[in-house]
Amino acid sequence: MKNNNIIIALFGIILLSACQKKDHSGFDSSKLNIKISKPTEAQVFKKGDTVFISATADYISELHGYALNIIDTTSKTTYFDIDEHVHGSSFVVDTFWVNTLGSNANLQVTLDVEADHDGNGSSKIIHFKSN
Amino acid sequence: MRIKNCILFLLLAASNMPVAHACDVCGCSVSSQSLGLLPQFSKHFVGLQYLYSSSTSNHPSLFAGKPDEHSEQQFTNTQIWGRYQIAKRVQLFAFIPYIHSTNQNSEGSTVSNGIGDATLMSNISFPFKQRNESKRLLLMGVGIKFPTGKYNPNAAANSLANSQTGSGSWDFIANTNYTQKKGKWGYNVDLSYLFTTANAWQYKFGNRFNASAICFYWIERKYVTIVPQAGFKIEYALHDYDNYSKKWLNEKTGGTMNFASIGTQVFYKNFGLKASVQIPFYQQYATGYVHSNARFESGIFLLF
Repeated sequence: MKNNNIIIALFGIILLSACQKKDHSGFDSSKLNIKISKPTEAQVFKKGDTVFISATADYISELHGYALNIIDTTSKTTYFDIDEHVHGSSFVVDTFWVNTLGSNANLQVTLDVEADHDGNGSSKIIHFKSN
Repeated sequence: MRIKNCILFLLLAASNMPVAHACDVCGCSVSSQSLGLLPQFSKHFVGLQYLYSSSTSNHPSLFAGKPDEHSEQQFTNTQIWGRYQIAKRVQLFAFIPYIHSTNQNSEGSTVSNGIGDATLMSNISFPFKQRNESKRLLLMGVGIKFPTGKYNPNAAANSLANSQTGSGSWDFIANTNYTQKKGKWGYNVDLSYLFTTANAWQYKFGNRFNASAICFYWIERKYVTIVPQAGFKIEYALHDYDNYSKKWLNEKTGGTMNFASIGTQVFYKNFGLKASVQIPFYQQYATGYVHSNARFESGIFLLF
């Protein structure tokens, strides 16, 4: 009888420990802060210049990843493209791209931040030029 | 015990499998200890065990138009373990693992190796009245898994929590091990449950349930005893928490893996050898993104 009580108590503990609480707060885009500090809006780069890209993002809950790209807004050509997984409420991006373009171009850097696997997230865009 | 009883027992046990769940995308996993069929009950032993496993992972991209992330993991655990009989009905088990794991993806290879999380378990044997030729042994106990392995929070942030040598947490184990032998036939059932806690970085691995059942046949010769065995193993893990205090449940972690196993143990005087292969026959891990391959386990032990 004593052994049975121990076994019943153990099963009870296991059942209780199998309950998993979850953060149920829905996605709130107003709480997702994305900031691109480099390059700055309308900044001009010459051929051979290094375009440093600095950005941060923070949110009230967990973020899942980001994608960062540089495209020509006219031809839609992609010159730089990275993506990373994130497991935290904030992250910092510090990277660079060397401008190899020999002609004038209107470029934009886009940082897409995903808060979950359901497509919830937000973006920030900075326009700059190659001259 | 007849062979058909043995098969019936395995089928009955197999019918009680847990429901599928989700799990971690990079996952050889920090698994819990299980005892299995143990050598001679009344003696101390010390042994060296080697476990090799591998898996492949496919993580769907977060962003439309980008390819899935594919990776391959290999995991070896070489561990010293032993049993010490501290009283007639009380046994201590200790496990000191050395972990080597590699994670290979399109960006390169990540290697983790070093001492893993050591475990100390205490078991009590419960007496049975022995009837006819039948011998029965029930062990029940609890244990502690110490955070002796290295846990790198930066690696965990890059979805590599399961590829590390330690969990960084103090975890607790409850286990039951039952063996019955009649004549040359016998079976063993081993159940263990790992209660995990959050580590200093608030990462919490999911609680884990392991169950195994094997049938064995006892072949005794003049100097050598051979014990061929076959059965299955169920591993079931709850979801991990990326941050336990904030209740960030990672629903891409956890799940179940079920293996058929075949192996043998050989005893010569005070020496023992064992080897087994585990072949997955059903798995639903990381919402199906992780696929485990066959595992290989071997070991030697010295009884004294």
